[in-house]
Amino acid sequence: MLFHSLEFLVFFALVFVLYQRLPHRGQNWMLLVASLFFYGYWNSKILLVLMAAASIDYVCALAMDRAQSERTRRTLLTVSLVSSLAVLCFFKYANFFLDNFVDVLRLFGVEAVRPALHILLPVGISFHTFQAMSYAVDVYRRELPAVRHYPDYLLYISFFPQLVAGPIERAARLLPQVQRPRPPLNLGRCVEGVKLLAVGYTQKVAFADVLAPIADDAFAHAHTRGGWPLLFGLYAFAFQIYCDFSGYSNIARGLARLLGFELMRNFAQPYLATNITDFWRRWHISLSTWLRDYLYIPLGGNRKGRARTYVNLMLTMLLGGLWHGASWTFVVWGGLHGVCLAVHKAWLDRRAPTTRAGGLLGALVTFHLVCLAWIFFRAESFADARAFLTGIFAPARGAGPIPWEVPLYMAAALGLDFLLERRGRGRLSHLVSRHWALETAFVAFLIVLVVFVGENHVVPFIYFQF
Amino acid sequence: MSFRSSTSSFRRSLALGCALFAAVWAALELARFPRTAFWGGRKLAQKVVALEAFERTGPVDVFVVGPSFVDQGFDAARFTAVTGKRCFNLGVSGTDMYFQSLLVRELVLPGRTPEAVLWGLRDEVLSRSNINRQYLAAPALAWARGPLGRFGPVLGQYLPHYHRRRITDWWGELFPAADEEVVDAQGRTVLATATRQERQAEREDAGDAGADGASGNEPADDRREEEATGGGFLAEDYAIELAPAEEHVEATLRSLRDAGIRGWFLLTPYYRAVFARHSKYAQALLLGGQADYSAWLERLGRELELPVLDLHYCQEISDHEPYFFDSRHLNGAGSEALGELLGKLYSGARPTPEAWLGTPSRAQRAAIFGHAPPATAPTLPTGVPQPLAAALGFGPGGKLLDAYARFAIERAGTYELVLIDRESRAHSGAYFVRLGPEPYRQVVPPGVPESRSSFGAFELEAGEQIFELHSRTGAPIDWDEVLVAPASRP
Repeated sequence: MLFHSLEFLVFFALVFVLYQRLPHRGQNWMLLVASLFFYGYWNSKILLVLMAAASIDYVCALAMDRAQSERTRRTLLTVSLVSSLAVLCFFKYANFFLDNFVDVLRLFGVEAVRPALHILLPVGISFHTFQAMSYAVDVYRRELPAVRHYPDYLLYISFFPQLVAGPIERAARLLPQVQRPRPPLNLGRCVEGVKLLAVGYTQKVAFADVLAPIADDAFAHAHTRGGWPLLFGLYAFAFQIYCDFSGYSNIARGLARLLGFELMRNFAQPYLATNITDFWRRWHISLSTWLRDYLYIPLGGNRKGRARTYVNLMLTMLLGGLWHGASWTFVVWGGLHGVCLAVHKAWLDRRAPTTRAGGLLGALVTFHLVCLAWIFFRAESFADARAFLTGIFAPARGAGPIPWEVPLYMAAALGLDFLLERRGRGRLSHLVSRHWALETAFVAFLIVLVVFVGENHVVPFIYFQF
Repeated sequence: MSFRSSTSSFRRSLALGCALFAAVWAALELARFPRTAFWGGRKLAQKVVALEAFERTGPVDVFVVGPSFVDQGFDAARFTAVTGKRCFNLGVSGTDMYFQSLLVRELVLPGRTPEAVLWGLRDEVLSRSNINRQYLAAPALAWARGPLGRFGPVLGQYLPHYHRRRITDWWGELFPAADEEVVDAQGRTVLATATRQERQAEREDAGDAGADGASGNEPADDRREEEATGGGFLAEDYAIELAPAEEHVEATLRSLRDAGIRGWFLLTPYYRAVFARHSKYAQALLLGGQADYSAWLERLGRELELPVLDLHYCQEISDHEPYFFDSRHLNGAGSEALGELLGKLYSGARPTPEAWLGTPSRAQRAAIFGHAPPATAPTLPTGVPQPLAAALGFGPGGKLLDAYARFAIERAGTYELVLIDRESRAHSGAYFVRLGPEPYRQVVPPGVPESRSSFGAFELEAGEQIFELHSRTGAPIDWDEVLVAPASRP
């Protein structure tokens, strides 16, 4: 059930209307049932995976909370993390590991036949697994008491607006919102929710879905085209994935807001970042902060010397790449970002450009570095990635249609960001927000865009596959 | 941004927001833009708009459905002028019979009572074209197949988001290009005036000489279409099987008959170059490549009393090059000629020649060989070589290109056909051969000097069996004798 499908609109309308008429506990039960229905709508079998993994983490966390011995607590944490990772590895990486194992055996002259495993990948497994792991670690660190009421915990894991593609919410932030009565719906929150929905749907339907076929076409002709068609195709993909994912996150936040929840902001104008470190502070914030808090810092962060800092950075980004998908191209994508982060750390020591021209240059360079990495993220294989990369600089390879509309969509997506920027830099944003008529016209304009501009068919969200 | 949370400002905002949205929607409705999103593509959406406009002046008497052959190749206005019947061209380029069957069910049958539906055919029931898939996935037809049935399209077409287009498509809608194809009042797509010769000249100028079937080979347009649409992903993703599609068409035709609406099957004219004896089209037709499809059409025609009118080779149009946009599609002038011809046939002002009935029609075979198949031919004995000169021969300037005879078969069994050359020359040609009731076979001799060459074994019943030998390449038949004898057992 995709957020921009008719089924979901009917589903959410029913949930919303019923939800407003129930007391707090009733709301939670209803949200839990709705979330499980929403998840099971893809395939009822994956519900079992979700509930089994959640149950183990719930029991381990409860036991951890009660245990006095550090050793017992550590054992329970290990059981919880291993079970979560085992589920993730089995469903997402089993075929990948087997393929590589067979390849390694071949290197040693051993011919092995890889068993054919037909494993169904549960949608959003990477997101809810990370959410469960952060809960277990927080309970272990005694930053959070374990949840006693199982349905509350299950709702935290399965809350449908952010279940399949985040934001990856920390338990410390979302669980209290589940456990405590939420304030009744007020008009301000309702309008905020509608605004987030309008922005999210605009990003998804009017921008990302329209850029998708342009990017697909460019990557499908990586071996036969060169020059501008490929470069514009790459830009199209860069903005497709941004608008797609940011759109999803905004829709999730808008839906949650209408239900009385507050989800974290996942994107903050990432393509205006002036360096790669800045980019990771703005892109998929819930993942980057998760990796920082639960991987980079536990590995030692920057506390164990310069060399170890770079190693930690690389390790974090390589695993971050692998988190996206079971393929070496994702690992290379993470590795490229790791290298860029390490280089930036070493040479500039996170010093932001101080002049406007420097900032602009930094943003341009950062954007193109990010685009370079996107090639590996999007390409089906290294051969395709290499062909695409070399093709950009080989216009004589073959002509193709140049999608001149891409810059238009890029400007529109950046303009939308600019209007939404809260940090006071966008003066237009300030002007619009100060006048109710302008603000209303802006939201109405977005709704007009969603309804009247875009593709005619439903395009799935990219991050659902992760 | 922060919104006011007071009730009054919210109501004000809601009212203004709704008013702005309603204004945009109303403007789009008033502008009568075709509901591209709802109908899956611009062409069908344009036709629906044109149909609604046409029906404001009276009901439609005759609908014509079909692919591009009909869409651009049939002038409904000319048909109306000849017959006095209000005719509408509902042909949609790139579509197949299954899609057209859906259109008939969802657009023609509900609430409309035409007296006839003329169904222009392509050479197959299904099409793998991307355009066809796009139309099949359109909400209008998807809804019609859902639980809402025919009410789906009726309700759905009033939803605002079925005006949705890409920004670039909106631009094209608001500022149409000067050379854009338009749909006329009775549904025909009006092409630019380019004729086949002009297109050929343009291609030659562009270094694409000989691309449009001038050599008589398969037309380049069709090859390009296949290349563009025959990719792997389309083949994998094409969900409709042939049998259900045929059943759907049959059920639609029965519904038409039950509603008292006459049906006609129609194959529109091709340019004569398509019928060159060495063309791929001729090869496919003679070797029975479309035999199943033809048999299915013939059966339907018999069972449902539908005339199957095969105008693929219709001399008065097919021989007239200025009528053609390319080898298989008529242009504006050609569409008028077809509209007039069909009008006369439909109204009975002109009797339908026997040679045009059934498919493949006798006229097609005559076009390939350059003469009508003879009604009689000399009967020859089996078992001993017979001079080919004894057969009934055809060919220009004394060259033998086609030979017809009959062989008297005394006992049913397997017979071998052997061609004999007394001078043992090398024969490099290719031949269409027929012995008995089976379709033609193509025989290519090995091309080395030989006095006897076997042209295959044939299962024959007792009695007189037809024998035909045709040169495929246009090179004269230079064998001296023909022998039909019981095949020796291995």
